Amino acid sequence: MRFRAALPLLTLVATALACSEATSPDRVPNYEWRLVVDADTLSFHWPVNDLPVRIWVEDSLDMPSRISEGIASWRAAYLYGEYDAVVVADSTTADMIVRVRTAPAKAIATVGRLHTLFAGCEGATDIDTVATRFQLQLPVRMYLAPRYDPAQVDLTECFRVTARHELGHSLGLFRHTSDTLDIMYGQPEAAGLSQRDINTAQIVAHWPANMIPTR
Amino acid sequence: MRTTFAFPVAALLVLSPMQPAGAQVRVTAMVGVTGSSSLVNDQLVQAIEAKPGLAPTFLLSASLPVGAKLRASLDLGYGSSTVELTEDGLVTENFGTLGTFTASAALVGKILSRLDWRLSLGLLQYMPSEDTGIFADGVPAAALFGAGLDWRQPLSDRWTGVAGIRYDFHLFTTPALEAAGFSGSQQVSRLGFALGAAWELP
Repeated sequence: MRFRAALPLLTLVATALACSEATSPDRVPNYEWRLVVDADTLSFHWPVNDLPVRIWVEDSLDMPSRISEGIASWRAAYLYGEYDAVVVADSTTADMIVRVRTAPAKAIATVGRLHTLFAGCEGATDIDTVATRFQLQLPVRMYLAPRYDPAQVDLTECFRVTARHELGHSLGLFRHTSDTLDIMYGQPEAAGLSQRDINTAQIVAHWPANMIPTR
Repeated sequence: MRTTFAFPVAALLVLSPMQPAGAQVRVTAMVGVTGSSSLVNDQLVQAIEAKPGLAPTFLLSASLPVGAKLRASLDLGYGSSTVELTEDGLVTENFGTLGTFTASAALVGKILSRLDWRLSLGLLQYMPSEDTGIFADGVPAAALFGAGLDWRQPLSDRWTGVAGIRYDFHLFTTPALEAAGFSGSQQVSRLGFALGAAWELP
């Protein structure tokens, strides 16, 4: 008898539960990220087996902290653990090397340099596609440098934004955007990642990569 | 919606008039495995599915007679498994382990002398090992609707062997999924099989 009394409620619960339907987002808007070299359109993301990416950071101007913050903000952009990175002490086994200096003149023809100019600092990431064009030479080299005397000007926010932008290049976001709200805008001003940045990063992580990291 | 209906119905089940003194409390412990349907289905360049693997599961319940053929039961369960990410049908990675804790109130009745049915309502709480990705901002408890069958094989005056199958259903979403633009909740079905023993308290 008591069970019969509960039956309508149980039916109501089951019906209400059954009416729910999950819908996944379409990741729009997004932007073009691929690197075009001659006739080749190159796409890259870190293979899952290579995670976490090991990053050595020159201990100057508190740059390890800026890079760690950048790692955290990009890691939060993903839903399925597509990206993770750690700052390591040994540069010889690192997948990325971050130097606190102006990028040197390009010595190798296969290097594509993605240069960023911010108000108080600058950044560059070298993407060495090797002669085959379908490899990414490790370690990826990144440069962050002040444009003014850091003793006179607080460049913390400048480095925070630039580090986040340059890390975006290392994730496969090989283009600059035309929207000032994106962290991947050529002269980034955004304090954080835009929805376009997040959508594009998620797409890149699942787009078939035709560049393989190599040493 | 996730917990809206669970509490009143669970209360209805638990607050049923109890049998007078002399009623026997039955404690049941079981061990088994639980399989689950996917927690997330996504379309990100290709079809992506996040799904818990088979979970070793421990079940504990205590029941009292509430009628001539009915018992009310309080059930606890815990299981743990990896979460597998499948892309285009291929398992690409495991991202951490996922503990699953359930607490529910059930009504148990007889179908045959040794075969019981059970209907339950309660709560399910996922406990991921890592607070990242879809679990970055936590996982809310979900209302749980369950059903099952138990085969009881008497072993002695007080001990009974039990083999049971359990089905339950809940809705899954997380704040991280909602922030990412997922709408609605994923319907998740779980099916488990367990073996154990029941003991009638004197």
